[in-house]
Amino acid sequence: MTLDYLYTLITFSNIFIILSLSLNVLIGYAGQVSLGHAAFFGIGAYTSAVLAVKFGLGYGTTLLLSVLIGGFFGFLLGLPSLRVRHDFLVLATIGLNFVVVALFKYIDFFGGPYGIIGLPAAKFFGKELGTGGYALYTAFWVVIVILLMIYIEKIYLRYGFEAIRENEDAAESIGVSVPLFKIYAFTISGALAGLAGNLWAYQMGMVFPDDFSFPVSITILTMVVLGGVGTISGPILGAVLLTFLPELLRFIQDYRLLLYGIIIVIVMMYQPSGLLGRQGILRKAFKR
Amino acid sequence: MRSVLEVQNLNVRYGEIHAVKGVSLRVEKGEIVALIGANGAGKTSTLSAIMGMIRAEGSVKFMGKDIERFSPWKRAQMGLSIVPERARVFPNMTVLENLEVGAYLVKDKKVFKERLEWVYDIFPRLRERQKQLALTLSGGEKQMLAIGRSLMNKPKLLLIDEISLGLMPKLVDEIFQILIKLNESGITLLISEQNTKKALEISSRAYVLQNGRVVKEGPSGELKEDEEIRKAYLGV
Repeated sequence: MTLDYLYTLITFSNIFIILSLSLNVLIGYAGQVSLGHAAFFGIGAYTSAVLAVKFGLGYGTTLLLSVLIGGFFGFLLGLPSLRVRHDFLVLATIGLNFVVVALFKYIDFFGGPYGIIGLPAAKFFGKELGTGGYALYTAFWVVIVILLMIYIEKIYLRYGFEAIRENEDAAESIGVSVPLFKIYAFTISGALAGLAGNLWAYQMGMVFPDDFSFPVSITILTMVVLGGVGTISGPILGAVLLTFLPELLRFIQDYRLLLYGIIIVIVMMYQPSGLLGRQGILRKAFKR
Repeated sequence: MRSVLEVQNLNVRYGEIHAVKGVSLRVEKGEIVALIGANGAGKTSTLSAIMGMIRAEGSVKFMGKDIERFSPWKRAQMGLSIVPERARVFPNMTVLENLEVGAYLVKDKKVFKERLEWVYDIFPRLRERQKQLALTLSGGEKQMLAIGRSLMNKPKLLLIDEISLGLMPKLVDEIFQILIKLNESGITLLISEQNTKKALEISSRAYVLQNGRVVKEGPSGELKEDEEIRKAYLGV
């Protein structure tokens, strides 16, 4: 295993930490299950790719716009969630994922099935970072996102979010504005997925529609569920495990989705709160 | 005097079913008013509609303001609160967290602490169990927590739906005693009850609902002596 390879894995792991934490805002805090999170990831990545390759914009601008546009689309998805509940929302998010990927594929502006290639390396003060530097840079964003999560949890937002997850009617009857909090959750979640998309696009130097297809959404969901919905440490652990394990166990590669399916089933049966959830085995092990 | 709550010609429909048919009622400051009637008479629908949790037609005035178009959280901000049927506490949050959410609108830390002490004084058992998850509480404790959660916002009018449902008789007495105490401390109450006897004992006035209509209303003392009510609800 070369050092560069390790750095690349760390970068992927960091990107998926951000993705799973952002999905966790929706599922864990607001109780809104989304099976289409890769759509926002893709929107962020394509925003950066289009702006960098077609318009020649610099890294700072593409980063900012990926976050803003990701957040904007999160906000848009949040609107129907005010009317549609639970199971319908799940279907709507799956649909969204397919629609977004299809648009990337069939609209020439987005490069069609071959995607957009030739993103320049991200430059900071005129310098390129290299694989190690980029891994460190993504780690910096992971730290920022974790701090944001701690902030969200600490500030009463958490209670608003949790109350919604547990019971929307009861939450409303004590003065928690459910619509407002759902919109918050969707916007934050979309913005962070947009950030992850930007980091991904510059890591790969190219974007393809299939990088953001439905199986990727399932991967992110598995990370959150495995680690522990509604915690901060859980999605991080899930993302790290599911990024590194398949690399170590190469023979699994082709059966990745099968593995994720099995993981979800097993976790749901034996560890419904996730490894680091309230009743998780790892949480108990740490407490002892 | 201005009524705390004035409901006029309230109608609730669930598809084909017309659950509440033109109910009118009012609650004055400092009162305990009871909604009594059999299962399915429309009590829960009426309370939910007053809180704004279900769609309804008709006029609802709270503290002199028309609120029928307001969402539940807006009504809560105005000082209306509900203890829903079967408590509906947040099961995966601790007792303390439930109370903290109840104080969601209280931004001042000092006020929050005072309210918390107040609630703990009313329900010492909640203090003992403050670190426990709400799902581990007994039925009666959940009801106490649901009341406590509502109290954190110090409501002007508290709607209480079927508090005695599924509780053992001794607990029912205890909870009703607490309701009287709450009322004495200045909180106006509108309660729905299947336990007609108890409800008429603690309330000053009552409305009798039947098939979604108010069929009788008046001072509770009079209703207790009413021949029909004695037959239909008190089993005498």
